Amino acid sequence: MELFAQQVLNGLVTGSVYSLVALGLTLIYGTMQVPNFAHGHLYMLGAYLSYTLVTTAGLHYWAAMAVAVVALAVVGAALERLIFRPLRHAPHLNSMIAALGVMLFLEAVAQIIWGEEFRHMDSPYAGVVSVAGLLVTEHRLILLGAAALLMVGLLLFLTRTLAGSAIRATAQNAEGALLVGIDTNRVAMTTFAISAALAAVAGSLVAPISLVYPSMGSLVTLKAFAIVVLGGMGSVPGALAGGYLLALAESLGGTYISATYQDLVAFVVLALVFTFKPSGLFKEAA
Amino acid sequence: MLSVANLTVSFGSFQAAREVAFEVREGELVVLLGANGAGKTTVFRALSGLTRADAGARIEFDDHDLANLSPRAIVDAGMSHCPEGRKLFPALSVMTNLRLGAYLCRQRAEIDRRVERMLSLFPALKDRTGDPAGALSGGQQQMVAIGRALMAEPRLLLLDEPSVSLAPKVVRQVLETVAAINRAGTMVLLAEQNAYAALEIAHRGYVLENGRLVLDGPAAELMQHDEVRRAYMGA
Ligand SMILES: Nc1ncnc2c1ncn2[C@@H]1O[C@H](COP(=O)(O)OP(=O)(O)OP(=O)(O)O)[C@@H](O)[C@H]1O
Ligand SMILES: [Mg+2]
Repeated sequence: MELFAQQVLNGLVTGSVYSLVALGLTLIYGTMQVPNFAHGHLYMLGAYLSYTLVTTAGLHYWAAMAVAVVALAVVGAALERLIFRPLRHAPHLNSMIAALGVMLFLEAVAQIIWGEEFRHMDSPYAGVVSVAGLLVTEHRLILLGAAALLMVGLLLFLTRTLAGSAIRATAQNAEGALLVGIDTNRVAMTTFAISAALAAVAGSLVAPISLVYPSMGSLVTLKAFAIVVLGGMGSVPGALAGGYLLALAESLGGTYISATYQDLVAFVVLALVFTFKPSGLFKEAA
Repeated sequence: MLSVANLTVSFGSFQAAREVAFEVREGELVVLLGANGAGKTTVFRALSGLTRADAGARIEFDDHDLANLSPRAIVDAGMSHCPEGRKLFPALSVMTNLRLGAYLCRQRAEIDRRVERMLSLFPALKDRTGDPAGALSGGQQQMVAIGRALMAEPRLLLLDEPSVSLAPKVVRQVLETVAAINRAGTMVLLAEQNAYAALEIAHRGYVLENGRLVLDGPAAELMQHDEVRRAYMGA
C-alpha cells in the first residue's frame, strides 16, 4: 500500500511536468497547426538557464526561474516570428521540417555552451517532510503545487480574459477570428511565448530532481506528443489530464509490471489511441 | 457607401473574379446573384481582406481606401463579413461568440448593450447563450453568425449565403431579419442562390457569371428579367 501511494505521488510529480510541457505543445498545435518537435528542447533550455543562473550567477532559485521564463518567452516569440510565421501559407511539411531543424539547432547550441556532461543543481528546498506517512522532499511538494497553480492560472486566463478568448477563438476558427478583428499573428506569437514559458517553468522545476543534459528534451517531446494525441490534438483539458494519466501509468506500470519498459508505456498508449480512438479522449479544441 | 472597381482575384493563372465593379449606396440592400462557383465568395473575401485582390483594385468605403488593409482595419472602418460556412467558434458559448464580435470595442457596458440588442433581434438565442455554438441547430448557428458580425455595429454587412442548407421556413425567417437589419439603417451586400427570396427583400442586384458581372438593375426589374428567371429561378 505504501509502495502504491509512493508511486502515485511520483506519478503526480512527473505528471505535473508532462502536463506543463504538453499544454504548451497543444496550445501551439491548436492555434497554428504546427507540431513543435522542438518543444522539449525549450524545456531543456529552461532547465539549463535556471541551472546556470543558480550555480554560476548565484541567483535565488525562483529568481533564476523567473529569468528563464522571460528568456524562453522571448525565444518562443522569436521562433514564431522568424521561423513559423513565414511558413504559415506553405505546405505543412515545411513547418514540420523547420521544427526538426530548430530542435537540432537548440541541442547543438546547448552542447556548445554547456557540453555533453550531465549537470545537477540543488534545490533550496532539500528537506524531507512526511505527508500521511509518506516521506517526500519539499521540492517535490513545491513542484506539485507550483504546477497546479500555474495550470489553474492558465485555464483562468484562457477562459476569463479577452486575450485568452482570442487564443481559443483563433484555435477554433482562424478566419472567424480574423473577421472579428483579432490579429491572429499576434495571437500566434503570444501563444508561442506562453508555451515556451510553460516549458521553461517545467524545466526549471524538474532540474533539481533530475539531471540536466542537452538531449533531455527528446524523450519529453515524444511523451508530450503521446499525451496530446491521447487528449485530443489542440485540447487543453486533454493535455492536462493526459499528462497526469500517462505519468501515473508509467510509474505504476514501472513498479508492478517492469521498470525496464517504463518509457514504452507512452508508445503503447499512442498505439491504443490510434487504434481505438484516433480523435483522442477530449476532442473539442481549446 | 461602398464603391468597388477593377476588382480581380487570381488563384495562379485562374481568375475567380475579373474586373468586378459595383456599389452599395447609403441605406441599400444589394444582392449578388450567381451560380455555384461564380465568384461571389471570392468577391466577399477580397472585400473583407481574407484574400488579397490583384494590384489595381479600388475598394472605397465612405472615405476609406480598403484595398490592402488587414481584416482588422476593415472591421474597424465599419464593414463586417458574415462568411460562407459561418466560421463560428464551435466550442465557445453563444455568448462568447457574440461578445467576440465586438472584439474591437473595449467598453464592457457598450458590449452588454449590443448583446441585449442581438438577443432581441434573435429571441431564439436567449435560452442558448451558455451553450457551445456548435451545439445549435443550423438556423440558430446562422443567427449567431449574423449576430457576431453585427456586434461590431458595422455600417455595411457582407452576408454570404446565410440561407444555405436551412429549411425553407427558416430561410424566410433569416431573410426577414436581414431586411429588418437593413431597414434599421445598415447597408447590406447579400450573396444568395435563392434568387427569388433575395430579390424580394433587395433594392438592387448584380449577377455574377464566371467571375464577371454580367447584369445589374433594380430588384424588381431583375425579377422580371428572362435570363435571371431562367438561370436562377427555374422558370
Ligand atoms: N483558394 C482558392 N484557390 C483556387 N481556386 C479557388 C479558391 N477559392 C475559390 N476558387 C475558385 O474560384 C471560383 C469561384 O469560387 P467562389 O467560392 O467565389 O464561388 P461562389 O460564387 O461563392 O460559389 P458558391 O455559390 O458555391 O458559394 C471557383 O471556381 C472556385 O473553385
Ligand atoms: Mg460562395
